[in-house]
Amino acid sequence: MKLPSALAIALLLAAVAPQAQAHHSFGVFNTAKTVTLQGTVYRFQWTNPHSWLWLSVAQTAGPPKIWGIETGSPTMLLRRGLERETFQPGDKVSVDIHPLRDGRSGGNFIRATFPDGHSVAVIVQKEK
Amino acid sequence: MKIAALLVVFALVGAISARAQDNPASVASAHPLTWSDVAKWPDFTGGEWTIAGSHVNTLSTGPAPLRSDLPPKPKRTGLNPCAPQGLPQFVGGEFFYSKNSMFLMTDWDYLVVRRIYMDGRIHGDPDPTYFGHSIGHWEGNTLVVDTVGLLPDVPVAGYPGNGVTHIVERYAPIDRDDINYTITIINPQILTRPWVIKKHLVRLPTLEVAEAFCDQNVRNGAGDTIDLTPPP
Repeated sequence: MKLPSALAIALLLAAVAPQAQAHHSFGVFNTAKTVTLQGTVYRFQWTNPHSWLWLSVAQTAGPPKIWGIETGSPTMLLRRGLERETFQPGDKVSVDIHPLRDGRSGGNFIRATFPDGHSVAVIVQKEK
Repeated sequence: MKIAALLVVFALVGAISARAQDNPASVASAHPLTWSDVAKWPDFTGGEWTIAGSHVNTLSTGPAPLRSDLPPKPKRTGLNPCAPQGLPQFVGGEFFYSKNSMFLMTDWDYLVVRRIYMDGRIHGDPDPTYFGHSIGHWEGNTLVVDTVGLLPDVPVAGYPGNGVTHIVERYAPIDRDDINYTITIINPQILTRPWVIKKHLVRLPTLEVAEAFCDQNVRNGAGDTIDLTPPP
């Protein structure tokens, strides 16, 4: 078998990969709903058990709000073509999430799109 | 480099091997291997073996042949958020060879170290673990791994295995980068018959097993609460 390129792996992963959620019920997220956040990367925590993208989102009134966006472990993200340096503080990015059901400023990462049009994605699946 | 990698393996699993040596019934049946024996093994080392198509190591399955008299499936609440999924939920990984064992290691959000004894020992009475006690042998180029000694909580199809789960895995190489993987799960308390699942494993040559400590950034509390305090 010819070894797939990193790009091919990333595309394949984005197309078919389920996300394992071993640590809590996936029910805390409303997977029927997708919210798009326009913001600026505050921090990207490349950590176990899950990585977190913290996004500063401007509000119509008051200071920007920091959203907490949960995604996979480092090894899971590496398998999907993401890296520790995929998100740098200050990056402008558009992020699709499944929001928390409790209405707080948080959600589960679906995909992020950068100003140049390229995007990274992690497809989610309900825990069985 | 190969020797250095093996030394790392020895350091990592020193505690495990020390425990295993406490099991004389198991060790008595072992026959010492030499490096020249090991050199004849098919070479599965280098990169991570992962399930083709998904590129993950969590085993997705079709419907299980479940018994009709099972109690309701217990909810996964109150568990240590860092509890490993265990075998058979987690398969694949990177192979390392030592003189009496193969090691299958992978990281997900915790580090998995499976030691597979290749020196002919029997299971004996192993201390239960999330990934069990594994003994292996070669049938031609096919690696056959037999595992028992799983913790009672480790599930089969979502039901606690009660420590009686018996697993047989076959790793049949197709070529250097592809393996026909067959896992047979035996647990008469849950299943009506042995549950056979076949997967195609592919080698991801650039993925290497790495440190993974689950409790680095745990934000999930009891009752599925999530801590949304941003980092400093």
